[in-house]
Amino acid sequence: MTEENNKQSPWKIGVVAALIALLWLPILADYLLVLQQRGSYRLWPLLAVVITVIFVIRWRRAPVATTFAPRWALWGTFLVAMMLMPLALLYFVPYVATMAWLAIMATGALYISSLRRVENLFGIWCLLILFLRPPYQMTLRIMTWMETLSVETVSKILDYQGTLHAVQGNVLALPSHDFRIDHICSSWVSLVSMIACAAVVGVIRNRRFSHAIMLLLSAVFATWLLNVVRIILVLNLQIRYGVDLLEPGYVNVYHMLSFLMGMILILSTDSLVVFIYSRARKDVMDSDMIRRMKSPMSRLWTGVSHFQLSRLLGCFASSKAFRMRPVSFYVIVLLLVAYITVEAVVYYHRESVVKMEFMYGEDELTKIGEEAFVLDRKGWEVTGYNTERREFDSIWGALSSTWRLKYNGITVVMSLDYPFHEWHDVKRCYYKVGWQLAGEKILRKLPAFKWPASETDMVLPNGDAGFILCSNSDHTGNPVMPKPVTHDTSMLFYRLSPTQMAPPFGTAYESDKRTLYQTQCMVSTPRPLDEATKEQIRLMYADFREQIRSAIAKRSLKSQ
Amino acid sequence: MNNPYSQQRLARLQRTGLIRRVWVIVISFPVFILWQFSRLIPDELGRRFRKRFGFLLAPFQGFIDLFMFWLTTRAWIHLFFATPVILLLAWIYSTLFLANSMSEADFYKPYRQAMMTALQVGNNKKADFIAGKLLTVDAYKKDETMLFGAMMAANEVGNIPRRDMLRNILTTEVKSPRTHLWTSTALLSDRSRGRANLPRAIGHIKQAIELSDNPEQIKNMKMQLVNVYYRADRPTSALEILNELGVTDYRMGVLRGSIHLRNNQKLDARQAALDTLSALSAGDVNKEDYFKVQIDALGILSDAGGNLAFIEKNLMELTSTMEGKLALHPDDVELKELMAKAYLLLGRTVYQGPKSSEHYKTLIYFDKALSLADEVPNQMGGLALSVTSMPEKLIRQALIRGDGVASGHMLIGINAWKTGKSNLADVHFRLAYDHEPKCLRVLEMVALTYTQRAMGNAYVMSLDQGSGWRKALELLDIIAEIDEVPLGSNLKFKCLVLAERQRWHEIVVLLERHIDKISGPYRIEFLQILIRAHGELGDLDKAREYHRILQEQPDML
Repeated sequence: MTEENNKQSPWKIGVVAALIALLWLPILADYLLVLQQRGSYRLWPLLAVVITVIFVIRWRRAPVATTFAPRWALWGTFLVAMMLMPLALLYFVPYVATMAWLAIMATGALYISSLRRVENLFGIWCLLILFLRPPYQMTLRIMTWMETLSVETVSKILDYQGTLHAVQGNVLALPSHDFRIDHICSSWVSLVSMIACAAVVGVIRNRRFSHAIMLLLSAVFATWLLNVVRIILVLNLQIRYGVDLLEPGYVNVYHMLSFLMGMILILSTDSLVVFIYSRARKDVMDSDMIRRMKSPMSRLWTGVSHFQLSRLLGCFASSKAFRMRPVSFYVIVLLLVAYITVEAVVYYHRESVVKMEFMYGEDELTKIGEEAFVLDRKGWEVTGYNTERREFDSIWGALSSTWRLKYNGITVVMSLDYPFHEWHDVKRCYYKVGWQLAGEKILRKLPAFKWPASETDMVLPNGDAGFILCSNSDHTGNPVMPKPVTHDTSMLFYRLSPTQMAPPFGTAYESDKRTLYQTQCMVSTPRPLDEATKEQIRLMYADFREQIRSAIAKRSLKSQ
Repeated sequence: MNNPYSQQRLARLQRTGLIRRVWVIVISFPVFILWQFSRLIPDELGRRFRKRFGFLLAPFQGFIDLFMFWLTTRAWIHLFFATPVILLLAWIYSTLFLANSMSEADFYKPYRQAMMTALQVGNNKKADFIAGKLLTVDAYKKDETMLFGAMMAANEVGNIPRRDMLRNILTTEVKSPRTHLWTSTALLSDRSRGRANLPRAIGHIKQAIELSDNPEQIKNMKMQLVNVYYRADRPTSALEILNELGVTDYRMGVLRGSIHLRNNQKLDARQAALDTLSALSAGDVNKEDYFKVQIDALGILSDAGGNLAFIEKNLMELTSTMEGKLALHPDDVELKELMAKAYLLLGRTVYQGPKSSEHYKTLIYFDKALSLADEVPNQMGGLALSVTSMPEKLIRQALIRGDGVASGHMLIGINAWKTGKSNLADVHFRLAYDHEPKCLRVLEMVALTYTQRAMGNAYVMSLDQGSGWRKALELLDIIAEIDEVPLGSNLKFKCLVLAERQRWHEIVVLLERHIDKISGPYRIEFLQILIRAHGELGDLDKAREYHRILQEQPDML
């Protein structure tokens, strides 16, 4: 069968490809802009170039395909992309659009494999996955873990060398200098770029499956080595020669050198994996060697280390070429055109308004004063009240009213902060000022918490404990359901609720619903509170927020 | 095992390139050595061994086969390419191995040495920095020398939380005598709290004496305790220690004199004071406490009804010597305080003298005393009250001449307040304040002394019982109007006046209204008063709560 036999009508493919490009390019550009802002992902253009070059070279020397991708795989990947795209557009989540883009690229790769037998096309497609950031700040967590591990190793080495130093968080402090570990280890040459390099090396050298997995794992190891070398290099140059490699004059050279060193380590690690996995050709095999080679363990080892994924994938190959029927073609075109229309609407509204603009301005806000809260609970007393005004886009809210309460010698701070345009994650604000999360949950205990509140336990590095309760109500005093704290189905439903949709599709694009007032309770104590005290604080907070909520509702109604 | 350099193998290598041939020959050398060793074992022995003990290896045969298969089929050239990683790993792991094989104490010894050196050369910042690391090392958690050094460094650089943490460990867990001694010195040198720290300082010195096993050190510490007792006006305790040590001290006369005076044995007190004065010659001027002993002796003499002319003459000489010394050491706070005390005594002596036309000099001396002392001497309140009987005409004449202006206005103001003319008192107090701001502190003492005297005379004026403290509070209210910082000393004196009358509830109401607005040393004092007040009222929960808050205060030594 020749290449010409496999070909669709070129204009059909052209139309579909053009529509796909039109659909994905704008939202993908948004995603890549976000990626560009993250230091560790700044090498993405280089990765894109490398992938393109590898593909073009291999395409040019690829023979005509003799087997074809199965139709179910083609349709399957296409359907996945088409199912993800509405979510990405309606909720405007470029991350989901990128996932859909990976699926559509898989469709493209499968189609291409029906034309020519491009060497390791699956590997090339796998490289595209590197553009997708792992969810839940996993990259940041792994990189922090890597920095901690590296600095612990370096600290031990420096101690052994007699270099006086102390490690305080992510700062390696010497009597005369302080070094930020994240500045040394987490630029565009970090764990992310090392893994990307390892993946590219694996694809260029067409490494086998187990080898590639081993190489990717070894990249983590190589990053650790690289970090250790980098920290010691920066430190010694500063101590001995007074050269600060992180100064603007040197920093680019330093990163280039780091990248070069990283590449050497990756190639070197690849050689080590080759040494472990691959078998040297023997001219003569003695009887002992043949016996050993045939032993079950040796055969198992050979099987695992020489496992070829392409063979497994080849099992699903079809002998029949894929041809797009006219009906399928028109359905696909219609679907793509519909999506492009939705995208255009979303972008049109996105261009003109953002969620925050639905929020009431400062003059229209319902102002709440000291009289809104009357203490009526035994054992409690109000010791102070004050107000604060910040920038209108402050993460703490533009206006705050704070009541300082005293219970059993503990100072309990109740505050009302506003306005926010969506559920305000109060723990992030505390995180920014040094608090660390110790636990969180949603309070639903009846009857006080029929309107659920979020409860967060935090700690400071000095051991102080923080107990935070938080709820939001809208401009008309309606309670707002808190954002779930666990990343399970409840979070999925929360994300998929109509209120979270992008304009103009969402249901919450009225100023009343988009202007939120947050009531918060914060207790900071040297030791964690006991459960009985917490319970009292919860009940007091329920009283407080109810009084504030009804005050907001009454005044908003009056002003309307 | 086969010979890697056998003819057949070498012949096969002939077909390969030169570099590969050299590489194979070089890397085969260890195998060759092993092969040579294997030849030492006779074949027969090997066969017998295998036959007898071969079964032991049977369960592992699969792994052995795999290992041998893997070992004999490696492409060793790749290991060469992996050299950078292997070398780095070897360097890191060998260093970690060597580091971990050392004992913790030896491993961090350079840190300890560096910290001690930094302390010796006065580089406290570096010492404090290194201490941060050493404090995490278990091996040094009970190292008294290191912990004490770390505490000193923390104190010098102002790392107060660390200093307090270490002081706590050293005094409670490590039981370090020198830390107790250091704490007492720190408490005594904290002049912001006057004599309030003396009981705690005495407690720490006693602990240090108890914990120490060095007789010479104990003797020195006991002498230090004598000094503190002397300063705390506890002559009996000071004398007891001096007797116990068998030390003849030039201060003993004053100590005995004080005790006699308290027991109303004026004759003996006078004799003891005269003995002390005669024992001190002009050559003793550089002795520790020389001036204090002189002033105390003259004070005892004055209280015991000694010759006023003699006292005045001696005080005049003493103050002139002190003026000379002050010219050389203008920043000597202790000397200034003693001078203030001397001038107060001189003022009182002149006032007690027969020449009433000279009484105005009292005002001049009081003004001098006020201008000298950073902290107003405690007896000033009593003295000020005792000279209020000075004719107002005489005071006004002195004011016209410009003599003792602050004290003059203060005395007129006190007289006006006593007669209920608050407005007039306010005017004179303000004038006194303009000349000498410390007048307000004197007036606070006047209020307290007035309360105490009123209580002492209660049996005389039973119907008027309690009015004294209310009047004192009125005076304090007038002062609060003038004072720029009314929530400090003024508030404290209000509490003291109320405490004299056991009015704890009023103290609680007064302090709890303001406690959140007060910081610094006064906050600590007020918290202590609140603890006492709640304790007296039986509200132990509140007392405990304030105690907890007190412990959290950063400056709590």
